[in-house]
Amino acid sequence: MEENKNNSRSLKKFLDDSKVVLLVLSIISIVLMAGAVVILALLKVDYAWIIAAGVGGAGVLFALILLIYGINYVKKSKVYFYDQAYRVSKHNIEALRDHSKGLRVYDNPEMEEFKDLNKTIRDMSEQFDSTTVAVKKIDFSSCGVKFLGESDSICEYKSLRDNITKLILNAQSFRNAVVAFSYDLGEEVIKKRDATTVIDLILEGLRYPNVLIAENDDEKGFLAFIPYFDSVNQLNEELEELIQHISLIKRNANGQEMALCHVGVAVYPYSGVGDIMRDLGYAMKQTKLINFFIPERPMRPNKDMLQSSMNLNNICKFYEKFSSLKPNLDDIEGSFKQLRKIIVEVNNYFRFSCCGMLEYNDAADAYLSTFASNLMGKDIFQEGTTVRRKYIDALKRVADKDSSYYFSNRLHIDNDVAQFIDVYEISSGQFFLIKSDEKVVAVLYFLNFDKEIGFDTYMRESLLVFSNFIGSFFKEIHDKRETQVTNQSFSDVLKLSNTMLYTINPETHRLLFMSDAFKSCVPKAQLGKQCFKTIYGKTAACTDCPLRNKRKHMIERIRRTDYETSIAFKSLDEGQCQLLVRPVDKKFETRDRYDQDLLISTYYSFYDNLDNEFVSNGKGYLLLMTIDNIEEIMKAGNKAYVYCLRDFGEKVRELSDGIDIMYLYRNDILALILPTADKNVVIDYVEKIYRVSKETKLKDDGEYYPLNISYLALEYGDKYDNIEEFLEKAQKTIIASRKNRGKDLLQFIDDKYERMASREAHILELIDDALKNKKFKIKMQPVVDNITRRIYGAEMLIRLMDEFTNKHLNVSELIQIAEAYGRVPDISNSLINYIGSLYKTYGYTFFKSIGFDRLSINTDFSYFSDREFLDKINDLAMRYNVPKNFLAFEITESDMYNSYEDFAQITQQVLSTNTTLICDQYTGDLLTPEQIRELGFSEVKIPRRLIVGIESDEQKLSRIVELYEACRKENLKVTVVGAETREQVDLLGSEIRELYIQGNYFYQPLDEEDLLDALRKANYYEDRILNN
Amino acid sequence: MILIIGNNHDDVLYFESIARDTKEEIILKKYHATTGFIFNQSVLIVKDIYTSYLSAALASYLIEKYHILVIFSVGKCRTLSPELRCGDIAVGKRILFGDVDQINAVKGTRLGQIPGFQQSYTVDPNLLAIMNTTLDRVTRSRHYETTILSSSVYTLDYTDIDRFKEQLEVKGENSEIVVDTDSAGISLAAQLFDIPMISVKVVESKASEEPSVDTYLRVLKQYSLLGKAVVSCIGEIGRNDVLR
Repeated sequence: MEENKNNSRSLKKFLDDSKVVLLVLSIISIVLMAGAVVILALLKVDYAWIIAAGVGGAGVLFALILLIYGINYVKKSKVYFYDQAYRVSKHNIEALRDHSKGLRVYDNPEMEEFKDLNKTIRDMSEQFDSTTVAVKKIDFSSCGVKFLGESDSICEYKSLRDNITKLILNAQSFRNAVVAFSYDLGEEVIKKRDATTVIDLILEGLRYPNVLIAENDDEKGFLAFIPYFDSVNQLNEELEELIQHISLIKRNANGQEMALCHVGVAVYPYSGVGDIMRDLGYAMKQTKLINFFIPERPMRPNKDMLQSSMNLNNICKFYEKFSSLKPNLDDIEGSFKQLRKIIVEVNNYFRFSCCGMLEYNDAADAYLSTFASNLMGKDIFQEGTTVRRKYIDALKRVADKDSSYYFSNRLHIDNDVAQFIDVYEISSGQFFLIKSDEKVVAVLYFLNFDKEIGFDTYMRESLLVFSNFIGSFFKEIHDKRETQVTNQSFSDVLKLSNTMLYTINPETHRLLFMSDAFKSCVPKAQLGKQCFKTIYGKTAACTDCPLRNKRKHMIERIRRTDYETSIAFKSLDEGQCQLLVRPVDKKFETRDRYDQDLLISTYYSFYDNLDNEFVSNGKGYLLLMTIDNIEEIMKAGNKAYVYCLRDFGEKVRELSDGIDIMYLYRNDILALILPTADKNVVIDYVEKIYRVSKETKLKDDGEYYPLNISYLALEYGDKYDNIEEFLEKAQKTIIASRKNRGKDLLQFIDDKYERMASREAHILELIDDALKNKKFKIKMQPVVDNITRRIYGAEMLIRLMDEFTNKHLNVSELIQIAEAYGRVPDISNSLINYIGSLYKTYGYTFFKSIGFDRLSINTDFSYFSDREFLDKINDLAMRYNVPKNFLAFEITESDMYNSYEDFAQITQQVLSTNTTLICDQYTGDLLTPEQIRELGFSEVKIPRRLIVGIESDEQKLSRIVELYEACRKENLKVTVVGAETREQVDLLGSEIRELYIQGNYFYQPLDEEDLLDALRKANYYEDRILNN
Repeated sequence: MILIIGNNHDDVLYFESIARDTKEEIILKKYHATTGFIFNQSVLIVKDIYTSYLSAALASYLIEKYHILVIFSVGKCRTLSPELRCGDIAVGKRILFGDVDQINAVKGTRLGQIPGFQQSYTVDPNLLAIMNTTLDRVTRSRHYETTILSSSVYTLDYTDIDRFKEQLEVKGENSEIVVDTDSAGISLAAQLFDIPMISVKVVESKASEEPSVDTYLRVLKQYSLLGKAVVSCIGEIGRNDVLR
């Protein structure tokens, strides 16, 4: 039959047709063969046999055709019934049994029946993508655990150990623990009677339902599975109590002594289902009596397991992680960043289409989308857009008492908000209203535009809990920001009125607050110190202290001026006393320390403070900042000018922790006095001021109006006899530097050095200069094989120095800027060229023969986003004949974790160029060895911080050994970095034989020549000895 | 028969392991007791006994049923005296009820005294002497003759017991003071039946501090030594016909 060529086929038709064909062929061949016999028997003519032979032959032919057809039929049937219907169905049924995803489709879609089944399978697979199967009742009968005797708790060890995964998945609505109890009995084993006693005591002591326990095969311990427990702390306490009741007797040379039980615990979901037994092994290697191993691995759903696609137990991991986060009230922006990260994590976990935050904007009386993130390439409220207040008011009306509005599909929406929902084409989700005194200050949302939500109550409540947490986090930051604004307003009022005010604790005299005007008068006064010491320079309270005398005021000298200090306000309850300070000589009062329009200290303050430095023989830097585009600003109006300078002054004040160090030198020149500063401090300030100068505004809700500033740094100190001489020099410098205006330059006048004020621009200049003049220093730190002590390879380290500050630039910052300004290809070219030229010179003649097989480069994901780089690697192989896997890239574990999905897409391409991928700074906290293997990485490097202290801390050494063993199981080669002492090397080498070690104990980062020397000594010498 | 009573499995583990021909017995349908022989003396080892209420009731029952000749109370205690440290061995020279105050109920009653009984129960001096000797022999660890105050209330706040301390100090009885939960009940039963008893315990912590699992290892080591001492004592009793 021509089934293969016929596209619209049916299995039933095939079977029916085949039946007919087989039947017909059979009948024909039987008839023919029978006919032949009959003819031969009955026809009595000479040629009868010919006829019989002919008929018989035809019969045989039909029989052959039948045979062939039959064989073909069997073959096809095997494919249809065995390979497809049986095997594919078996796979799918087993997947359903094990609650796995990954259903297979049948491979013969030309058959209608299979086509029909495939459609169903595809529908099921789609559903499974966001479905969770949760078992409500713990039932171990299907988990493969063999119980001993009549007991429903005591089981056979192997069956318990091998079925832990099934047990956990069976009880995945709860936290589970796997507990190992072990005894150090030397050569002895636990007696049967003791085992029974201990098992009974453990079951009694654990007090949890459905605990399973088994005695280990080595008869020196027990393994228990607790399918349900409440809290880790509670379990710890119970174990602490338990181990004081389950000791055993151990016999030794001294007779009998008691052996204490040693316990290790691994907890699901902190450890993944596949990792839990290994983590338990790690816990057992620790030295404490009771060891919990709770890794901080990421909560990635296991894509293949239905039961963990939306793993219920990960909720507790989320919540614990969130509970440990605190807003950093000194870095509001950083705290908002943390908040956004949390929102995205929750969103990713629950798989909403998009999420974000709408914040109330006073000026627009509307809600501004300040943050939006999505999983599907589309935002519902894009950042920067406004949502009308009436919509949020509608939400407020319909929200539940818990401030949330949740709707699983379009059918279940209140009329009030229906229009809003439809306008934005939202199909399901949750809004959470963050309120302050009943006013909605922000709205947190998780929304879908394309699907309904199928959460159960548990998931829904969890989402609400997280929303509450995020809301509290936001409110705390928001309230603090408001408080800061209020405090600043208060401070500004004091400044505007030039009020010199300070607050102390009347009991202790400690300084609690100073107004800016007062700070300017006494710049060295410090909060928290006693007022008589820090303001008046005395060792004991002032004799005439206003707190003690009836007049409530006193006159004291501060620096060279007499001031009257009087009590403005004393609050006994709050332990605070406000003191007002005024100069005795009224004429000093008219000298404003602050420009009341610009809220910047005046020239008078500047002169006064600089004079003070000269009088006290101080040294430091004066930084003069000329605003080159001042005329454009002034053209925008006086208001704009005032606003801009106030804004700038405020930002600069924040850089110096609220202390005023900036002064109005002239209308277009600002001055900073930096006592005791050196050029690094000056550079640091300038870089920070540069950044904020680009974020100034001309009006409140206006756009950024960057200031173009030229910076002049002059050092004051011994070189100048007096302040006048110095200021004269400063003036001349300002005039001379006019030609450099508008370039955002920083000039050190005394050193005759200039550079870009912007850090990025400066580093970029250094990079360009280094690329042009090949000034990059490349050092290589050898990696040594522990067994042979030969140099196996080396890690390449870029060094770029800023010659003015004599400091090496931070490598990651260097790479960041290189990447931002498209210098990565050039740097990478340089490195690759360097490797190429190195290999060209030494490769065949030296590296190959001496066994030097590797050069590795530190990089991160951004390298791989530049596709040209891949061409360069290929070029390396072709042009310089660099062998396979000579080149390696080292990427840190945290970068891999942060860009995990992105890496998954790119690593195969990198590997196809025969380049090795190494996971650098690997601790096991973020990624498991399997995950590293999955990405195609074949080596790991354990960082220095894990090996520091292994000489004295056995636990640290155990951790490294455990990490090593876990990596080796995945065939990952392990290098330990940072070995600095012989003891470390010996310890590591004795515990782990097959290891690579990189560290200063063997070699520091070396220049090319030094590396070649080292290679000769280490490898060649060994060769000679070995060969001899 | 010699009775050895402990709070829990670890307290009596040493004796269970060293006894010969051991058999499990169920007492009062609840308690698993072990009978056996140590130095040819038949012993009865009982555990899971907490509070003087239970120890008094059970000891009385056992004395009658098994014809007990001497009682050893073993286990842990906590110290009220600063001189004692974790791991020291306390031998109860005198035992009082630390949670009994019938002063206002029955005239003439003293602190800790059950009306009709003595205030404190003093251990048999021969037994005490043998215990001290055997302790000196088996261990170089510190061991002290102490006053044991038994309280059925497990607490970290022993300010109530300060009254006892004061009284004992005023009377010039300045021995170290430790607290446990069951010795007084056993001594009451022993006194009722005129049986000698001695309480030997390992100090696990200060009374005002929660015992730490990390120090338990030290206690466990001392258990072995204490076990050896008690076993030696049993041997001495057999040899020297110490008992009345």
